[in-house]
Amino acid sequence: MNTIIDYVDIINFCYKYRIWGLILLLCFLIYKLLNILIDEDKSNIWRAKFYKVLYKLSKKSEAEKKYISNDVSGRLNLARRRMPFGKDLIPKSIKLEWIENAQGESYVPKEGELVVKLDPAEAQEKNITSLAQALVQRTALIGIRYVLEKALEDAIDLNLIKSLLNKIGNRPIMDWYMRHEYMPQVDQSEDLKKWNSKIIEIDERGLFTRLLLVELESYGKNLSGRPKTIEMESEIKGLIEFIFKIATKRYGEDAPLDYRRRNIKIGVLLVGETSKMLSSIEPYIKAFIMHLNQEAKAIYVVSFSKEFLKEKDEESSKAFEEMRAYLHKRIEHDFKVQKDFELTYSCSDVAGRRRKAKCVRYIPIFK
Amino acid sequence: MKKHETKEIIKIVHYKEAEDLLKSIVSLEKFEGEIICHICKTKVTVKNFKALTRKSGKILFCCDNPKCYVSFMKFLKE
Repeated sequence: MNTIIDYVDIINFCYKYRIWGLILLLCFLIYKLLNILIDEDKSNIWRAKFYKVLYKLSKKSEAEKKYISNDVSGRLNLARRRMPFGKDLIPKSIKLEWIENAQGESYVPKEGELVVKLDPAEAQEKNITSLAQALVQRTALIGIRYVLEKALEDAIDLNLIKSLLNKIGNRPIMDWYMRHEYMPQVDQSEDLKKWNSKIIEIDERGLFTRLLLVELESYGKNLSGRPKTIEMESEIKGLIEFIFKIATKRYGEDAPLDYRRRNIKIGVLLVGETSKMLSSIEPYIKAFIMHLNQEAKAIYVVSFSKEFLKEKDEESSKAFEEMRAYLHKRIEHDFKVQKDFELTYSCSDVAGRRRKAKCVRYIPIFK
Repeated sequence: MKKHETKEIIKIVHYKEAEDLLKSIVSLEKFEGEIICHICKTKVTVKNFKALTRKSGKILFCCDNPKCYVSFMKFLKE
């Protein structure tokens, strides 16, 4: 519907301004085309569309192969870029190279080289899923995998792949993954089921990629090849339990808001109660000072706007937004902290209502 | 200017060319007997072949069972 209106607007614009309208439209199209040509992943998507048509018409293997590889790499690399911290969590983009097995020539795989057989173009969901798994398992969570218990590692991988595929924005691909890979794997082990349910809750509040994986990545960097110890394993499991309690906290319930161990020290400020926020921001400032005194290495300020407030009470909603902005201003002004990132996103709360949320990570600077 | 990024190169083989690839590897590496899945130890044929790699000089195969494929990927990182 929107697209139709857009086209009508463009035609009206050109009709109104005649030659200047056409020149402007032409400039816009050149700009869009250049954007696609410069961006390798976007141009892969367009190449894939071209070869898909060619394959449908000719049924030739060469067109099919070009469609498959351009489509898979374009979609996965763009999805990786759309994920919060996608480039850090999955540090490499994917590049696919066909093995051209000309008759009479032998192929000798090099040490560590992975060769994957791909299915026909009609089963592209399967191809995308197979290579998403390969990409995540070969490049993500490097430096920390050896510390993770197998079931926990599997749960993190499954949900990271799910997040990556989700960013493709194609339901058949997600359906294929959930039905043929995700669910069968989860169902095979009770331990995996247990960890997976916790990761799902954390992910539903938007804290999987924005908090848990950020802290695991930071933990992995600090480990720098130290042998695995029981303490490390327990610290990581404890971190997940800590975030899980925050993710499942209901209105009026208490949840621990600081996690202090030898190798992880983080604090969390939860901003969700409108009445509390509207009366004063001082309790939040005091909580921030407490985290600083405890020498937290990172402090997260996670706030959830009550979208329904807008319909019921626009004034309160506006006041909440203003107070939230003021809280961040005070933090940045009053304390020696570096704002690491600020992410706005949409998620569902414990009751299943959609909320707009904001996650800000501050790194305190100690002398 | 776009920042140069490192890429994870994955070799892929078309399902129609998998048979030639397997034959060439088997003849070159002089495999004795059947090729088996490194994870579940079942016989790997053109029909159920999913992936292969070389680790410590040895060529290892994986069948198309999703559980095996996931375990195979993890094994490669060990």
